[in-house]
Amino acid sequence: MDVSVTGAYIYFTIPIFGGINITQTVVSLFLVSLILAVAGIVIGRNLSIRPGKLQALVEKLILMLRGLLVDTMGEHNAHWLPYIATIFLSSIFGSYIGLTGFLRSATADVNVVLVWAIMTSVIIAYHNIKNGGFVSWIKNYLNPLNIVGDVAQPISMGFRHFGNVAGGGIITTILYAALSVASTLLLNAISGTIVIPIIMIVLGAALFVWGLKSEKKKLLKKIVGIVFAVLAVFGILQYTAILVDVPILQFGIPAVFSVYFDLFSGFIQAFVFTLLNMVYISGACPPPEENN
Amino acid sequence: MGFEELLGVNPFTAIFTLLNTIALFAVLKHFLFKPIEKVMEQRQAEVDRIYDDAETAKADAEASKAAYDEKLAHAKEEAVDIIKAAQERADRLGDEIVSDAKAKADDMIKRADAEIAQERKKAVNELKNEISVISLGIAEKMLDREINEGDHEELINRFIEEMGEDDE
Repeated sequence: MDVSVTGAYIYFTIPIFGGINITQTVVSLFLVSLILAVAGIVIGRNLSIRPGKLQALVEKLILMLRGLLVDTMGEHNAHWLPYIATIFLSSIFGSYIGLTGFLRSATADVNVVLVWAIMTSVIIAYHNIKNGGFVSWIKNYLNPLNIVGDVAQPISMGFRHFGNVAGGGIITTILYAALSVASTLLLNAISGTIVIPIIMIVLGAALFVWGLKSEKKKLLKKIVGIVFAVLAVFGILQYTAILVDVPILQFGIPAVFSVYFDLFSGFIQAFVFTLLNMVYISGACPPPEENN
Repeated sequence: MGFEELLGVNPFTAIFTLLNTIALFAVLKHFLFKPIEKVMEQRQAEVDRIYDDAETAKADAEASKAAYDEKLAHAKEEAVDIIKAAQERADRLGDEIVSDAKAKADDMIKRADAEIAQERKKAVNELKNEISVISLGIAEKMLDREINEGDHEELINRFIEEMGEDDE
């Protein structure tokens, strides 16, 4: 089984500046930004003092994010909400766009998340210079540990996000490959003789009928019956060499893993990335009274 | 076409990401967050105003209720006072009328009594005179001679008086 782990697919290359690759990442990120921007404009245009359902939901989400932001960064940093929200929304939708199947998660490209992390680093540096002056900012780097720290910060942030999303994708790829192999093994085992599939099909039908009639565990009996019958059908197909090596196990099972690797992990990474952004920026933007 | 490296650095993707993110940030900030903030502020202001209005209205209502209660209590007292005064006046007036009537009646009775007495006296006197004249006439006729009025008047009067005493 050949499993290759690659980066984003390159759709085409614009032949200027030594070749600009238009990759899946670029398309994904552009689509995410476009959808978010259009949604933002549409919602922002139809605001009213007495909100509809959509506006109430959006306001609730914004207030939740604002609450988190104020808890983390303090009320004086509430004006960071649009930036933090942009990063959060781009991150979570950039991860979730991989669920469409034909587009790759934008956050599975190290170039994207690293740029977001560096943007935050630049913001921090800007505020440090603004608050303490350029000289004290430069003096800070006389200690080489600070250089290491400030370089490591965006790298660790970016690679954490990239690694989790890309890792989820890699594991999904490996899972598909493994399930394909497992399907072949299973089908070969079933279709050694024609007897086994026939027994299984009878057994499956019996289980299904029993599930229809019995009082308890109806659904379980029906599902097991159907699974047996379907396995048997593919076993017969394999035996008769009409359809060979159908990766039947790839049906259903990856969805369970996808809940964790795509939905849960995507949300958690977006949340963690945003939270780290908040913490680092709030470190560079102390409350006004401490400024003086 | 081909695939990129999993960990490949692509400066154009990075630049694109930067521009994209900045653009999205600008759009969201300008078209979503600012209007939403504004709307929320407006709503807050409206809510505050409604609450203020409600509080004012409540205070007004309470004040007018207190005034009403006071007036009502006052009106009750007044009514009791008026009734009391009216009753007193009626009592007094009744007493006056009764005593007036009594006095008048007494007066009338007294006057009537006096009149009666006077009338009686007058009648008695007239009767006396008449009787004396009549008896003189009778006596004249009986004696067939003129009785000296002066001689016998005393005698006659005594006779009449005796008669009057019998009369009574």
